[in-house]
Amino acid sequence: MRDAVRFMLGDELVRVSGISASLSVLDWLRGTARLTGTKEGCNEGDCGACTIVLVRPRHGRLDYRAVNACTLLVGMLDGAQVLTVEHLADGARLHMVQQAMVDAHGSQCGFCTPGFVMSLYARAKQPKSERVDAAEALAGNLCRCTGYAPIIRAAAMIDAHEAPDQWDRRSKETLARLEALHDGTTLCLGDGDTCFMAPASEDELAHLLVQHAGGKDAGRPTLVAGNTDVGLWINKKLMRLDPIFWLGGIDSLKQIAESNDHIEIGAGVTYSEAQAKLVGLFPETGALITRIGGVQVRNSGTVVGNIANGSPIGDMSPLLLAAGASLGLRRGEHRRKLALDEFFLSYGVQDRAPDEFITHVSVPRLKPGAVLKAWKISKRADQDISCVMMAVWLDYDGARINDIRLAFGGMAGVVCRARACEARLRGGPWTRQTLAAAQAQLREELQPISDMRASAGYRLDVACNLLERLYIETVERAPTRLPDASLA
Amino acid sequence: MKPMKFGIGQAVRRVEDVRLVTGHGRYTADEIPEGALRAVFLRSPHAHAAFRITDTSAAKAVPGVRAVYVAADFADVGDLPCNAPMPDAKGKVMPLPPYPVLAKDVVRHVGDAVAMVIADTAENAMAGAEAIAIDYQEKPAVSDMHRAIAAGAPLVWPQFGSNVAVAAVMGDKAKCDAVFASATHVVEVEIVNNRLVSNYMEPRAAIASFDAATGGYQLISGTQGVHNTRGLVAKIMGIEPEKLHVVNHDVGGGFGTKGFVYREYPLLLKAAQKLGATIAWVSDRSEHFVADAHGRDNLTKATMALDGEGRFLALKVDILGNMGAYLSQFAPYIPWLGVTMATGPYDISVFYGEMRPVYTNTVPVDAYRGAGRPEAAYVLERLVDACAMKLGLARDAIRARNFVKPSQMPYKTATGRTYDVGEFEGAMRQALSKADYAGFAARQAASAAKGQLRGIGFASYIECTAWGSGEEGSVQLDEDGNFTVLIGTQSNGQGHETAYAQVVAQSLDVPLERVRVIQGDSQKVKSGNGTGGSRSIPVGAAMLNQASEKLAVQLKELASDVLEAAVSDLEIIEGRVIIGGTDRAISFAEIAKLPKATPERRLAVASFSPPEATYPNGTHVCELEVDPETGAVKLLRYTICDDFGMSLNPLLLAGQVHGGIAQGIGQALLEGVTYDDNGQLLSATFMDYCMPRAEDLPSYHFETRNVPSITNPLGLKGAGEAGSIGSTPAVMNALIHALSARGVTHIDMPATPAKIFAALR
Ligand SMILES: Cc1cc2nc3c(=O)[nH]c(=O)nc-3n(C[C@H](O)[C@H](O)[C@H](O)COP(=O)(O)OP(=O)(O)OC[C@H]3O[C@@H](n4cnc5c(N)ncnc54)[C@H](O)[C@@H]3O)c2cc1C
Ligand code: FES
Ligand code: FES
Repeated sequence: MRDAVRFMLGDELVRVSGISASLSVLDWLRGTARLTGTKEGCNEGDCGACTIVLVRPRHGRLDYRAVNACTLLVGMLDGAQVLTVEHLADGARLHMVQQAMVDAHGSQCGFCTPGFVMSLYARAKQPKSERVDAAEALAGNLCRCTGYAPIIRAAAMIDAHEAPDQWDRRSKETLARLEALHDGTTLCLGDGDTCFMAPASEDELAHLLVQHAGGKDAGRPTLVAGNTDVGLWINKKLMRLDPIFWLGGIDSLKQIAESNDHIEIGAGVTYSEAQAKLVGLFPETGALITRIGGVQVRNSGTVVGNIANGSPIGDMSPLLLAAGASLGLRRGEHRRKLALDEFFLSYGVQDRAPDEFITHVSVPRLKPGAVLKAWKISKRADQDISCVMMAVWLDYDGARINDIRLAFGGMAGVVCRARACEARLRGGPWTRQTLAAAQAQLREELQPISDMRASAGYRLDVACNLLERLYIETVERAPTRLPDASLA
Repeated sequence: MKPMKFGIGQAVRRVEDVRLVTGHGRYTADEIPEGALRAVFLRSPHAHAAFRITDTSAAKAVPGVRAVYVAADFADVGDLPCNAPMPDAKGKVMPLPPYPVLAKDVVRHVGDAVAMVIADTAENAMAGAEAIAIDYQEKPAVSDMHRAIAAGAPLVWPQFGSNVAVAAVMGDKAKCDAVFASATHVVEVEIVNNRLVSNYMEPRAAIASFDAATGGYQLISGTQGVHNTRGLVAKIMGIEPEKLHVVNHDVGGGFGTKGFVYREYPLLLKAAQKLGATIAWVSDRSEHFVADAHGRDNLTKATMALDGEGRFLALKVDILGNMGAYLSQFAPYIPWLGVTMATGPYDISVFYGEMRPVYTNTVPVDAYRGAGRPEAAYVLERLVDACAMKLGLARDAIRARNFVKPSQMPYKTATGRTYDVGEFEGAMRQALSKADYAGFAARQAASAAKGQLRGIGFASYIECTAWGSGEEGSVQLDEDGNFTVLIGTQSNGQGHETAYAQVVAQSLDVPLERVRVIQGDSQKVKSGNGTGGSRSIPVGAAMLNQASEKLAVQLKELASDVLEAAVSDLEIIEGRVIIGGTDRAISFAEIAKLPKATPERRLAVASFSPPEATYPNGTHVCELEVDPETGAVKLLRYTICDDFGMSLNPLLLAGQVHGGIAQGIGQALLEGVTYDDNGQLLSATFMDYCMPRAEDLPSYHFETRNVPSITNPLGLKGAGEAGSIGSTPAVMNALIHALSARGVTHIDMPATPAKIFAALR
């Protein structure tokens, strides 16, 4: 076991030990390292003022990712290079990204600026073919002064002028230094009161979890993958978590395994990593999958974490529920497989023992003739909680519905299937008449709550409308475009 | 004016940016010294309750806690002031409720502060705050204005007997009623102006210290003017202003709401004195939602009397303005400021307005970007569209018919203002032509073919900026040949360091790096009135221009001896004084070293007080699409033609306009504070208070059609707020235009998909 987290801060190798398990990277950077360029605008992953870039080896090259420092724990930096806004300029020469922000007048009060600079920087580090649209790349960053247009212009300037920077010139050396940090030992970081563990293998995690859950005075272990949900418990609910088990040190959980009839997404796989595969499986849900959180949230947050969190408004759960996914769980040496339907028991309760963890989610491929569609209705295009989400898997032969799975988010205390409505539709002709009957059934079956986001009545109306949209898109075939639930 | 390389009118890059893009900006929270203590405020979870703090000993026993303070510990500290009490029709001024720095016995809104805990770390201070034993007895609360003015409503201030603070009036009611009685048409609208939260990205923060040796206090914070802050905080604390040194470093956005004196400032200073320590406080985002003033929140009924041709004969407005639980610094004046601009760019000779400030158990409301003018323009432009619809007139025609004509300038409004210049129809026509208003029908048909409802709408606004107090400041030639400007306005992101340096460069022809702008220090800068009401450029730049011109003459005088030439033969070119047509010159650095170049001769002081406000105006055009199946809105095009008198720096100007529009679009479609009936704040995070992101906003086309103001020597009009004023009515008029195809004629902000969806059904 190692008791210090090791990472590169810019060019410097640092070892940190003796800190609280739940210390955030943002607090460490600003408080301990005195790098105050990284800002706190919300401390809950929403504004991107704290955006930094994490560099990790991946397939033999360096992979640059923008992440929010406020929802990142210091232990999660293990083996990475951290670049902050202070690390971009080369001596007195501004980095090309910074120069573009100046030239485009992309900064006014400047408080959001370091975050935008880092998001633009991470985007510039992606191969051109993989670079997302600037507005999408910046969806995780809020600015109250500029109205964004100049920052979008800066992104275009960056795309037009490209040149290697000082980090590119040092990439071979950095790669070697980072790979050398990957020593296969378990990290156990703590200050005597709390402990952050990063097991190096699945077996070790299984073993440690059972040991801790059984221990007399040990606290209830908290599993952390990307920390985008757990980080808010720490920052906003001021929860004291001990011990924390981070999955990020386990290589085997970072795999996506493919077979002829399904793919398995490991518990350490982030949205960003899974995105392309999921869109490949379910092309019609692309717009939804690429809109979860902002880039920073997608670079940290995991698909499995979204499911494990059990939120009634999580986006992946309805999608994967409709897709017919199942979970792989492990407790000690015991492994089991569980249909996703059976995982969500009631609000805040899932079928998982405290010392059990999810190893992967297994997602079946679509069989010929079937489609998977999903719609998320929220106020804003990006990074907004959905008031209603509907996902549907439909096996339809042109006249008859052979089979259907309808899953909803935001319509009950848990993500749920509308089984009675499915039964109404299954085996029936796909007609306006069947649709009307299914809508009536839906109104009977679902009892959403009213809150400040939407009333129960609105949610039901929207759910019924989405069913109609399904009909239009699959039968009347117009419009074919995916609906934008919000401003876009 | 002669174009100079870095001077007025040039789109030069900002001098601030190098430090901001490299992370070297200095915001208050970045400046907390090692070893400073941290303060945390305990705030009420209830909207209205009597309370007693029963025990603080457990809190004091928390490791690291240095002090726990409650209201009784600050008996010698005064209340937070409201500087704008309004009179009623008879001239009787409204009574002011107390606004103590810490609540005593009763809390009146969620977030009302009841105690302050000081500890070695913020975590320990928080633990201390949690350990305070406090007993709340909840009382009935009221958050909604309709409920607050109804009979039997819970009273926020029982001693006043009503939640209505006063009924302030303007104009002659009888005369107005008479015009209405004989008018051919009467059109009325009832408009909600939703409550907003400023949400500057930098939450407020402050660092307070006390020097026992001199008895002097220091406050480092991000405000909108150090001198105003100093004056008010000193008054609250009962000390001489000279004893308080206020410092601003970089300020991460202000939008009006960072300008007020908040309770935390005197409390931190007092605690610093009591403990003999430096104390820092940094607000977090959730605290911002309950501790900083909110904006807007009006209910307005507006009625227009028209003749048969659609001419506006008379206007009546009746405004309820939510004040929140206490009166913030300018609170009742904000809706009133809107009343003074109620007739907008139109020639309406008869007016009657009534404005009633209303207390509710909510966070106090005060000036937020535009302060009263966005509210007024929104009501008027919605009303004008309603008039056009009712009379079957084209929306541009009814406006053109009623605009104040250039020939009528200077024009005295029925609300008592004097517009100096303005060509309102010119701006409208230019905006509409740029927006291809004429080609809209074809685009609408194309949208309809896709099942989308397309709408186009516009708003012609006028607003007032830079009224009231003036600025005194100076430009100095330093010994090293560079220049230093001292000025008492305060940039919150507008780029004043650049703009002011450009003004100096206009007269002295030096690159901007050679001009150092000093603001935000109440000792270095003698006086100032801060930033607000878009005044810094029209007042500050006008003043600085005088100072720079004066200094140019002084430097020529110094040079004339050395160059042995008459002052009238000298020119300033590229940082040197040169004899016209020759190569004989002396640099500023050399002038600075001349024995005769005494500090007095190297310094030029000027002051400027505007005789009347400036009146920026223009037209915003918005085009959008609504998806009738989900109620989702997609903004497609946005065109602006503004009259800002003169463009000091087109880059900075466009930045102000874009930013303002983004806030206006946010208000129109996304943002809104939600309270439940018990006064619980439901939207206190970015997740729940929805602000626009990059993908939500269209690209803008912005151009100017300037008519120089005659109330300041540079012809400037303030541009900091106009974007937020023209945008909300333009977006909402476009939305209603789109929805009118389905018979919808009214919808309130924020027009969320849920609201639009409901309106369509
Ligand atoms: C700004 C912001 C925007 C967001 N937007 C969206 C959105 O649009 N849609 C959406 O659905 N969500 C959104 N989220 C929520 C969040 O990002 C997702 O739920 C994310 O997928 C969680 O993954 P994680 O790896 O960060 O989980 P963590 O926070 O690490 O963990 C989440 C939960 O899962 C448990 N857990 C994690 N891994 C395992 C495992 N292997 N076995 C058992 N339990 C485990 C944890 O103990 C915890 O209870 C947003 C969050 C933020 C901060
Ligand atoms: S501080 Fe806002 S996302 Fe981290
Ligand atoms: S520049 Fe002020 S928040 Fe973006």
